[in-house]
Amino acid sequence: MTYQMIDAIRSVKKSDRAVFKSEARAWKANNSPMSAVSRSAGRTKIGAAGRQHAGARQSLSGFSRGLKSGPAGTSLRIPTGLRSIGPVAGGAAAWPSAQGNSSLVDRARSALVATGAQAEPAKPPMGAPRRDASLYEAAESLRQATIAPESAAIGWAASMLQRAAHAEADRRPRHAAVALSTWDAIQCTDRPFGSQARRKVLWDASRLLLSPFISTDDEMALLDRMDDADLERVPPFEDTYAGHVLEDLRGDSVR
Amino acid sequence: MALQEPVLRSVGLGFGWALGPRYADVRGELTEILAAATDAADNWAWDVFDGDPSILVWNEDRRLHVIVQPRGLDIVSEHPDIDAVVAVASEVLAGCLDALNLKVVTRVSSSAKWTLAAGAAADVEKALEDWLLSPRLRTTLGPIGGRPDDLILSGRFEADNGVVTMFKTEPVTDEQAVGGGFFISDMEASEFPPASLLVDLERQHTDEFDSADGTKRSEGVLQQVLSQGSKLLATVGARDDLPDD
Repeated sequence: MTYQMIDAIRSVKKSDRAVFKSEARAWKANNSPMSAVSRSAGRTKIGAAGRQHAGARQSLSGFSRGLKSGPAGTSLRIPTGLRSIGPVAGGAAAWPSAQGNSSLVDRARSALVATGAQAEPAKPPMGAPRRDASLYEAAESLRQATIAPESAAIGWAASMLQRAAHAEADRRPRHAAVALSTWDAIQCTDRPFGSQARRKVLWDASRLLLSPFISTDDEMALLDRMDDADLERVPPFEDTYAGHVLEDLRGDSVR
Repeated sequence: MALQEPVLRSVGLGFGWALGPRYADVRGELTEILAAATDAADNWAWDVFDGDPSILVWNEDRRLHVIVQPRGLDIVSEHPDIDAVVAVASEVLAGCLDALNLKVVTRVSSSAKWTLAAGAAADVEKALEDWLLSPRLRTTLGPIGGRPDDLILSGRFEADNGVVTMFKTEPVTDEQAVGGGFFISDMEASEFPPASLLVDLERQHTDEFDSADGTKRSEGVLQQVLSQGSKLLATVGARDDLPDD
């Protein structure tokens, strides 16, 4: 597949432009099994849901165009992922408060209403979370745990770190490695947030997780600092399978 | 600075066939087949790509794209999910051939893309020069301006048995990776490192296969591409260990 073809495909997906779109819609309205079921129920599935879908997409693309171009004198560009998870209606406060931004939100909301889509209740327009959301959650939960190291916060941070490690193992192996090392440190150390030095190392680990690039030097430096702060990344020998077996053997020999 | 370990970003399978004259009449049926296989009821479009009328069906959550044209079928996963492309191929290829009233495919192909991360674009260019080019590249090109701002290395290998392998590599920044025409999915720059070496490997086998054999052959070619690509990428930064030609 050529890069030109990939560009053409991306263009079609983004702009909803298609040479045969009307022809395709007509075919689908007449021939789709789903539309037949809906027609029998008294309304045309494609006519209703399709219009709503198309309207939502149209208003969304108009919304994003408005944000990209921005009002006069501003150059506001909301990242794609933020658009995908940001609330369209009832969530204006969540958007960056650049000049004129609220009017853009109002325009988007009115566009939704005008196209027949429901403005309330607020729903994410596409529903897909950011691909790197797990990293942000892990870093934030770890940061919270270093500030207030209560058992619930520590457990939550450990859970988020493990999830991030699994989620990012294929895409960002270094981030996954840092998340996994930090999870190990929390799990295998007695009172992992028990000293200022340990909290500082774990705080820095949370910052490293948010870095766009983790070099080998940064990764190794973090592991060295964990060692210096006595943050263990392997369980005590007594807690391992071999440790249990040895314990049992010792018990047998005593008996 | 050395490049980091390769990260697989995309895998794809492709099939080519003789022109299907029935294509225009069965576009709807083909769309249904593709939508069912990709679990993408609403994400589809009919358009013209590379001068050919095309059916595009995609599942954005799974980053799975299927394109059918009168002369072929392409399946791309940018999650990437190798099992998914093979499963979709086995399901879709038979349906497409049946709908187009064709018996055989005349070409199968497989492709994969990797990125190798680095902290800065200059590190990637240096690593590429050290890996496959000459450390004297900048000196040699001095009369026309030194190190080029855009460096792409591509190679094509043709075997007697109809197998053609294409290799392409170039340094990219995170923004270029997202908007440079490398990936179909709606990706974000934060998914990529600030700079990386993008490596694209594709292998085509021109021969006649029926539906089952075509799927099996394409899966085999994909495994070849993945294993040989991994072997190739393991040599990045190991130039001193290789024997001289």
